[in-house]
Amino acid sequence: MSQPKLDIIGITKRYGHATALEPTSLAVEAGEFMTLLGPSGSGKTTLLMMIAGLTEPSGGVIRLDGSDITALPAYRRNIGVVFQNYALFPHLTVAENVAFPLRMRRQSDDAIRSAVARALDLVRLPHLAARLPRELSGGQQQRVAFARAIVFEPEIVLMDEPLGALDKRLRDELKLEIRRLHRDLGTTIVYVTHDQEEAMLLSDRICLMNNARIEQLDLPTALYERPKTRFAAEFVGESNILTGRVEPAGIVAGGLHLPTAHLSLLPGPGAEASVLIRPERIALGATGERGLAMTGIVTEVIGLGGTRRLVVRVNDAIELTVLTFSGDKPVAAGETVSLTVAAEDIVPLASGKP
Amino acid sequence: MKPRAWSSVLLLTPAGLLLAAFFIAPIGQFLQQGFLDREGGFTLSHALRLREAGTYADVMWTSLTISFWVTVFSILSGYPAAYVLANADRRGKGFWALFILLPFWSSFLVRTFAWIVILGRQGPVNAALLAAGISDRPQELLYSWGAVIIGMTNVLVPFAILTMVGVMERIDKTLMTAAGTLGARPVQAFFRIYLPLSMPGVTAAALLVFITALGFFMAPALLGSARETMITQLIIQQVSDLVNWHFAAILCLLLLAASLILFAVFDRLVGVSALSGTASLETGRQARSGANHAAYAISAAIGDALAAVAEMLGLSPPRTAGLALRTRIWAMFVVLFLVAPLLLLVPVSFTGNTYLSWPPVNPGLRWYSQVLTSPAWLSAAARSFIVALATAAVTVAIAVPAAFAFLRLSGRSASAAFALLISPLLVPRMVIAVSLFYVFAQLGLVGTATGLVIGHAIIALPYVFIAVIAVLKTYDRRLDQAAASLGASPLRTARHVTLPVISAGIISAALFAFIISLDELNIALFAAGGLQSTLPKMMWDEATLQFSPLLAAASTLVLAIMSAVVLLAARLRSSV
Ligand SMILES: Nc1ncnc2c1ncn2[C@@H]1O[C@H](COP(=O)(O)OP(=O)(O)O)[C@@H](O)[C@H]1O
Ligand SMILES: [Mg+2]
Repeated sequence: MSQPKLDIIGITKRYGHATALEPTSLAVEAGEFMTLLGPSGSGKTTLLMMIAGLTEPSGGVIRLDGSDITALPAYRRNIGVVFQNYALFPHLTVAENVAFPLRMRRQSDDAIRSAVARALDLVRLPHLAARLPRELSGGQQQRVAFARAIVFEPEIVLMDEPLGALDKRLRDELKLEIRRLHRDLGTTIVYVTHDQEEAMLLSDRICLMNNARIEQLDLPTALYERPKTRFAAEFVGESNILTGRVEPAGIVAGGLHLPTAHLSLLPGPGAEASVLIRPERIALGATGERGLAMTGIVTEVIGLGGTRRLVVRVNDAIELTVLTFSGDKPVAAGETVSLTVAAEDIVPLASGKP
Repeated sequence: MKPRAWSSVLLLTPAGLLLAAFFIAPIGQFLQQGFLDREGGFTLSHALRLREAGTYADVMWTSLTISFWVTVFSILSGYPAAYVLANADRRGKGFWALFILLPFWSSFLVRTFAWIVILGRQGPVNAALLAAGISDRPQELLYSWGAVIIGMTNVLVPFAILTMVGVMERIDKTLMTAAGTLGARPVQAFFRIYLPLSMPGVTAAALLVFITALGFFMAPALLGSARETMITQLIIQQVSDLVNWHFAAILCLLLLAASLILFAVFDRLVGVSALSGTASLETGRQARSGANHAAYAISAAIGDALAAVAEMLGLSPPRTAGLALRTRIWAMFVVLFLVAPLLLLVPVSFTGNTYLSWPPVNPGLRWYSQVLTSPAWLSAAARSFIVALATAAVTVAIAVPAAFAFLRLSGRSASAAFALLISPLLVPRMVIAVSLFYVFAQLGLVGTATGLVIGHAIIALPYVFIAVIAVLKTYDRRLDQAAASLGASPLRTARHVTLPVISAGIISAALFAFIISLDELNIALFAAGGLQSTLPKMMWDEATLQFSPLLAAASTLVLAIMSAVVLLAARLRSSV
């Protein structure tokens, strides 16, 4: 296998007795879009700042293209950073802000001018070159910050919740923009967010973080479909989690026998275990597929526009959330429905209570 | 007008009346004297005296050069201290603020006295020089250009620091971090980013220091020789020795004009709002003006050059941000310079001898018992306290409504109200004092407690106004809205909700007015001594004769009282 672009080996950070990041290893491939996803306080910023050289690690090694950069100061690392509040220099124009890293690298005026023009074209702001940052909208400032972080063709670009300060519509627009820029430029990006939708849309791989460690490192689809822990299952997407006792072909919970296709992930028979069923993987009506078939009473129907969420009570002991499309046959509270789940979609979770 | 506008006008009325009657009118009336002859006709003869051979032009030139150098030294030594104060963590901030604020609020007069002791023939500096064998007999360090500069800088550095801190605290710390990730060495980041962004604070500090220095008379009178005579000393001479109102008015006009011209230039280049610390960092298009552009280019070039040197020498700065050790050491020296005079003055007061000496010998409380049993000192102290209390009460009663009104106004009327309330800051205190003396003489108010309170209130008003605005800005307006929604009338809201919440901040502002009054010398300077004397006036009269251990004891007592008041005020403020 080829050498990773960025190789983080056992990096850790302690503040006194508190641990901001347990020893953590992570390899990022060249051109990859890697997202650090996790709740607030899980150590994402700490990890990112250590990669940038802005926080000194308490231990561990960081390699960039195979060479050790752990002791290198930030200004020598050639790593672009987009800060959450953008950190645009308020006394410099947009063009001067973007030119800053090139000036620091003592490039010629001509080279700087054309590189700045290219970068501003890329973020579609060439007409605002002469403005001061505070004369721009939040979204425009974000684009300038991005242009400034990529104009010097850094080895990696780091972004710490770059869309955090923007409203939902702008976020959705800029998400697609960042995706396009990543595709066009082929830059390696390490991106921090606590928004799972953002992570799903953008990432090649997601590094889910919790309690100062990596919880799961996986492809977005794998993280969604095969979360390894209860935390991962609940943090990414909606979930039904059922806990019961292990039987030869699955588990028994609330009087229901739940057969799973992923038997190897279960502990031995008799032990306690939990399984995950995603709400949209529960089908209304009998499909005849091999798996779980049951009937229940609808207790609640919530319209969400394009989709509809049902709460269904099964065996009086279990409540399941079911997601259907609004166009499907209407269902009313109080109705009895039959539900089907494929054995493939019943996913065992590693033990460990929240 | 809308009812809201009317109530704003009403709230500003007391401040407006006080300033119109005892600030604007007296200054106008007095300065007019500069162009009137004995019969009240117009004449330029007084003004033309300024051309008289040498003296006045020389004194004005001396005043300007001394003020210039004091400004330079204050900024250079104050900048790192301000930087440390602005960038320290919470605990560090408390430490630095204490050691910068304590000297700031302790007596100008006492801090000037301290240098008489420190630089005196029997003082610690000479003692050290002798001990080190650098000189074989005591040197005359006092009564020189250097002594004046040191004394004035010592008094004014805290002004410079606090003005710069206001701007530095609003510089986003991630900007320097960002510069680092973009490839700037720390020194480049400083000269390209931090220094330009802190420049409004630097120029505001320079302006304040320069204008204040220009009106100084204590340091040149006590620490300088005839060659260091400054213009305010000439004004005092004209008023109290020669009783020449006309020429005094011309000199005051000259001093005032110099201050206002400086202020106008500053306003054009930077904008007044930088003074109050309420401005956004850059002031619109002005930030991009030609002069600023050139200054930025120079600063950037210096940064790049230093970075290149560092690169060549292979210097590698600390990897992570944080306060560099050498910055903190520099700041520590500045703090020592600020605090040392206070610390060195105290021991010499505990002597039984009749002369000052270093190290202090023959310890005793003789001079303290003398001060504390002297009817003259005690009555001066009592008078000063009464006047200071009254000043605090009057100033707060006027400044609080004015601050409420100011925060409701916007645009031009807000600028006008702000300019009016802080205008006494821009006029040298001596000009205010002489003008009031002139008017009080006609009203029979000279030397009365009423006269002193009025004068002190004029001088304290801008400080208290700015402090109260700061307090009100931290107040959450939604509390008022909540009270209104619960059925409280505006007056009851103010009484039961607003005032109780902001009271600690207001009391701390009142304490500062108290201190300003307690240390004010200008207004009392022309009143007779004796029973009409205030504490600073007593001390000044003593000091112009001779600096004795008695004065050191009195100074120590004043320092102790002032420090107690400042610490109380700071406590109240931090509990807001
Ligand atoms: N300078 C610091 N001093 C002490 N603790 C810190 C510091 N910076 C971060 N932490 C702690 O480290 C943990 C991880 O923080 P952070 O990396 O900022 O999390 P995230 O970015 O995921 O929200 C938090 O518990 C935080 O309180
Ligand atoms: Mg964070």
